[in-house]
Amino acid sequence: MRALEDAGMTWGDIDAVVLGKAPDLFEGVMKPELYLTDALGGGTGPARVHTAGSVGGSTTSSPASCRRASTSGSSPSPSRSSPRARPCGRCRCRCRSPPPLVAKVRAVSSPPHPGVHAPLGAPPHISCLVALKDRQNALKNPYAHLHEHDVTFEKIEESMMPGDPIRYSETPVVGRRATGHLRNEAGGDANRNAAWILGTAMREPTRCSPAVTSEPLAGQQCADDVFAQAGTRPAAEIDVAEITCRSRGTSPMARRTWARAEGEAGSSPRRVTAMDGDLPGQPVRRRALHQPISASGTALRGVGDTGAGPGRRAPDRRRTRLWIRAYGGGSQFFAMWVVSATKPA
Amino acid sequence: MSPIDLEQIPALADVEPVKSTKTPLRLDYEYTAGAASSRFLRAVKEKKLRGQRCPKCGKVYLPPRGACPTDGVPTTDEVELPHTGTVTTFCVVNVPFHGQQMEIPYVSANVLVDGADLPLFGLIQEMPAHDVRMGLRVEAVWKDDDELETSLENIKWWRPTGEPDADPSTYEGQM
Amino acid sequence: MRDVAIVAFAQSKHERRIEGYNEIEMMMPVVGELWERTGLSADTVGFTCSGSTDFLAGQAFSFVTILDAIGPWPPISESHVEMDGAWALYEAWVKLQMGEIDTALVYSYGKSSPGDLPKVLTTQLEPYSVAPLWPDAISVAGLQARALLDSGRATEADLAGVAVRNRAHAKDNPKAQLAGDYTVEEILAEPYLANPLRKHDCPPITDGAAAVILAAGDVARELNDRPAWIRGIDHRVEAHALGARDLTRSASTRLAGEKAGVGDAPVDFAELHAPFTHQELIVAEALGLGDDVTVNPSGGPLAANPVMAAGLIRLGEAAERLSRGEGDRAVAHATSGPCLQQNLVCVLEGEG
Repeated sequence: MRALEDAGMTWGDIDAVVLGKAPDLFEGVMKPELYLTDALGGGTGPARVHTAGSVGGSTTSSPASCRRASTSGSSPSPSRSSPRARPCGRCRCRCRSPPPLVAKVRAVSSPPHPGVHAPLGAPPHISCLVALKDRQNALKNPYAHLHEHDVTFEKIEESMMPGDPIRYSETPVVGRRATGHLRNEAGGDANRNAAWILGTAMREPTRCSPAVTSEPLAGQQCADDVFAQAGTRPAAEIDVAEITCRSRGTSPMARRTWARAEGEAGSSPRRVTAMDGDLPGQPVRRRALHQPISASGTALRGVGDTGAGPGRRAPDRRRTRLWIRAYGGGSQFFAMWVVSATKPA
Repeated sequence: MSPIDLEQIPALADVEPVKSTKTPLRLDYEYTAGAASSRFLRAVKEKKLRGQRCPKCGKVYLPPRGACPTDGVPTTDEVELPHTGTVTTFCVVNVPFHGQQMEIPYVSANVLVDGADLPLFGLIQEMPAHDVRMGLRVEAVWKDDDELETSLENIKWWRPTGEPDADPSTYEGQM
Repeated sequence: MRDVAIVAFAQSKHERRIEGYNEIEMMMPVVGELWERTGLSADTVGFTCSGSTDFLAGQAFSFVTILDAIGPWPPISESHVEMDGAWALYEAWVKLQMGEIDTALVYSYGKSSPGDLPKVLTTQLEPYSVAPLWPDAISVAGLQARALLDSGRATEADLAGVAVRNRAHAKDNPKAQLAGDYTVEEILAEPYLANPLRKHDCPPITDGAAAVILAAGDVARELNDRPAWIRGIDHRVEAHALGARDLTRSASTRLAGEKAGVGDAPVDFAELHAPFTHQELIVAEALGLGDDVTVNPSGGPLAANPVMAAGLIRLGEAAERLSRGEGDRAVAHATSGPCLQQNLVCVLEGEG
């Protein structure tokens, strides 16, 4: 309801609902959109509810597709509904399900990290730096799960490593839900704080891609695609980034994707994603602070960020263009957006 | 529309929240290994590591799942692989996880078996956890012959061979 | 609206239990058949979307490993819905409407044999007050059948008649799991499974897979001499609580059918994803299909019901029949949830 209120709309204005969620086994409910239907548009009669890809970025791509289909002159639906939609993500419970018939090793871990860092030439304390920056940025976000006002580099460095080299302070927490709206000019006063979609892209590679883990080809291609659609050069025109990283170690990887899209040779990670950096990251929400499994809402938070006026959800300055990056699997699936506070010509 | 504020609804005021209910959910599954995995698991019972090669790209998959994940075609040729490999990346586990029977700390790792193009997940033992590193050469430690089953648990863990570390170029992109 | 058509369809031979192959091995030949027939490949198709559920596989993120059957390298533009493949097709159709791509692969699979399907389906019920009581899928459908019989709009003989017709139609479907000649009297002489439903009123438990290629405009005409054009497609959902809606009617099917334009012109045949006999009567009525419309010439889900793929198969079967010239205008329907809670309706035409 907060999302509807934010958009100045009611259920009667909504044509379609798109739900992003974790895989059913994480939810503990098969096809949870069925029982959630009663909370999504109740009273408006039969509705269109659609679960989209398990990563929030692709969830939101679906209605985004509608928007662009509309602006290109074709109606996305025989019902001629205006393509306004409401993506939302949720997470209820976790479920343990070992994959069948593969290595039945009774152990849990996150092995890829040394493999990610070594080729990047990242310093050993890079994850601590990223965690510190995100925790600090999150203090400006009233909806963040974690507000650690006394966080310091030393505290993060001292935090226990459940699986070396990952510290507790560098891991995500499980959050509750995030909702957001998409709409186009058909939405009346929709220009109010609207985030205009300049591009959306998704890429999924084979699960044993020959690419170097620290620089996945799927991420590169996805970035190339979304920046081409947006007609933008990242460093010149992107003001802020909202990046899904399950643990702080993969943030340098995202930064690297961006650098490559920009045409840089691939510098070592710099302090660019702090609020005063070249590319302020996660001004309102960070996966490490609030993580509905399935990244649902990374994109949506970003949209809220772009649309927000000065002081509203507390970004330091009015953002004009935003790059959003979500991923799933072992840095496998990628979904990206570019959105803008100003309506494209 | 006026905002919905649940706290302002009298009937909902002063309710002591039910913070959890238990609804046990138990579902049993009997998996089908499939043709390729069956071949693999039968070989593992004989203490053999048998991968399958993609006829299109030539990559060798261990364990095979029936399809080349890069080309989407059946893997047709069987390849017998040695019991040695290289640690491509690893993690030192310091906290107990549900169902785990290992002593802490222990090391889990991706091991690229010599001749394979896809690393296997496994444990590293018989050396101090802090000495495990990328490029470490390891060999499989199998269960006793009378305990062998059609399961990858037949490999108890991997231990160092004492060889010099592998050159990073030999396992690049296999993390 | 851009002209988009189903240009190719393939499905596995449906069986109660496919023991020799895992899901990847079950899916791979089906997709391979479509690559073969269209000349497309994972590299050249514009978008890929799949439909499946973790609860059948008993494994989280199960859909990720199935991508091995496609071979997504270099990386592909891909998505997944945890819904029947018919909804994956809808998502691909939206992408095609955007105009950025000309072709899409849609696939879905359901291997029900590893688990206990009627019990697995219980987990799609409301998790706080209904699912913990463990009503199984057949009993839930029985509630709906009883309500329909008590409304006086159908008899047990009508239900048996649906079973007889579908099993007879399935004799011409080489992929069907159940087919044969029965009489209404024979079926009515059988015991109840969950009163008022008998075994023949219920779908079989099936392992199977299906895939479809969608294409737009001239590309569709290149790939198929007689593409099955999607003239309208819409999906709607209604309340979940079984007591909150009239179980003897399907309001969501009716609305989706109106939006898709079912009634705008005569319908030659329909492929309805109504797993239970009484549900076929409810869906046909909601769509306004007259007695002159052939329903489920393939035998429908009563002949083979791979959960998560059975809806997509309805669209594929209808399209293939149109492409063969056995009719000019067809309706395909897919359902999800208990007692026809969510429904998708698609109008296909063989001309144009």
